Amino acid sequence: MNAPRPSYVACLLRAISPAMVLVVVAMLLMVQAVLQLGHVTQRANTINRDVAMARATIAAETALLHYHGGGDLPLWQMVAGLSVELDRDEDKLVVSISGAGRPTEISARHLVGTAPRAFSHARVSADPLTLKQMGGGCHEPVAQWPVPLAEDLAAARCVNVVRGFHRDHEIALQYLTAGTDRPDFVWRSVAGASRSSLCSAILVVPGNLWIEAGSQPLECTLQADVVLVIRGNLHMLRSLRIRGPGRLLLVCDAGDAAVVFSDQDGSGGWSSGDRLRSGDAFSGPVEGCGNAYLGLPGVAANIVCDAGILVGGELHLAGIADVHGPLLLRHGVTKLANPAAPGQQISLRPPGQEQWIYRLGRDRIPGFAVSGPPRPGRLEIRAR
Amino acid sequence: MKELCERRWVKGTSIGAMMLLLALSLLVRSALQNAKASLDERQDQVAAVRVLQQSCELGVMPSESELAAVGALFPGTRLTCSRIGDAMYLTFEEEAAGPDLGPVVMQGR
Repeated sequence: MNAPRPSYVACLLRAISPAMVLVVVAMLLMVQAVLQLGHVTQRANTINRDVAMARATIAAETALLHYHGGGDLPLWQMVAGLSVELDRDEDKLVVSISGAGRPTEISARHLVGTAPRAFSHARVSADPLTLKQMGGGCHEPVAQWPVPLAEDLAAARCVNVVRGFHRDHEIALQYLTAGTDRPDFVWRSVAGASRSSLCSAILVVPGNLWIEAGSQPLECTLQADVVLVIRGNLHMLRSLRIRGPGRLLLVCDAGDAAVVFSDQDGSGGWSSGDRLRSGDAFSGPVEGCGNAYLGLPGVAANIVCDAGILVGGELHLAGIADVHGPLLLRHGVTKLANPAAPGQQISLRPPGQEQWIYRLGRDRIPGFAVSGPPRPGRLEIRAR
Repeated sequence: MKELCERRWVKGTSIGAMMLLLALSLLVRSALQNAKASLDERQDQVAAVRVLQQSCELGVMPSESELAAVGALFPGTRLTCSRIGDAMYLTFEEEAAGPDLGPVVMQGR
């Protein structure tokens, strides 16, 4: 007679013995330990690389300060057990570091002095009342207000020879009933490219600058920092997005003799009811100078701007404005209400996660006077 | 009888070996936990160096205790904060100062 065949479960249960359990537990623990060992080794490598890089950057700063303290080039020294060599490459100082981990090359721009202090704050105004309107920030007295250098502007490239900028005779009449007196320039994406790009450190707009209304932001790629000086008004009617490592600063230059006014009706020009911010009587081009319009009533409202803006005149808002760079206001903020949308929110967003500022004494801002002794700029790291 | 003894000996040895393996695994596990804790500490120090460098770049002077805490990452050296005008730099100030390793003298050129 055939006995019934035992089930697999019964076989398994019969096979389980204390020795078997011990073997399984030991093997599992061993496998886990090996996996953990791999993870820890990998992490240790990453951390050691980070430590080596931190040591290299501090050694580079040490060598750069030795040089700025009176050393001669090429300079060689041992710093914290690293061999550090410093030499010049055009307008940059290059530090070659070896002795721990992979040889590293770090460069820093030689700065002739420090840029104006105001650029190292997210929100700045010369008027304490404006600061209140902005929801706080840094007060910069008029005497220390950053003004572009006339000689630098005279030598700078004009945008009429830069791809992406076009003089447009009709754009002002398209958006403003009275038009403008100064030449108008439109900044558009370059045909065939999804993004515009700028390569000069300082560019001048000899008139008003327009960024037309549109559903998509104007995108611009910058490999290095650029300053765009507008010798008129800025009309930003859609968002501006900056790609790449460079940063953009828009400067609405009011000039010395300009009459600044608050455009109460958003007409884009001086009209009855507008308020003078400087001078006794209005004169000059009808649109004034140095004003910035982030949106216009009924045309565009909410603007996100990746650039910093220095407004030498008055800032005009038509909706919610989010400026990611430093925002410097010489005068005040005017809110342009849209009669067709009376409940629309008009405000300036406080600095958020995407806010950037210039580093005090470490960043070069072309077109502005510098002060203080020469110094090394920001470090740029590249492993050899 | 002899066969039974042999079987017992094999079983005992196997169990002993497994116990040893288990103990070894626990030992490795414990050592790895220690290594992990040490790595966490080192990673915190690296992050602290970055924070110090950033605060120097923003013009905020770090305290002596902050410098000393981060300095442990680079044995044999001492960190200091040097200035040129209003710009600040995190630099090494070597403890064993040789001809090339003295404290940095800050002067504008």
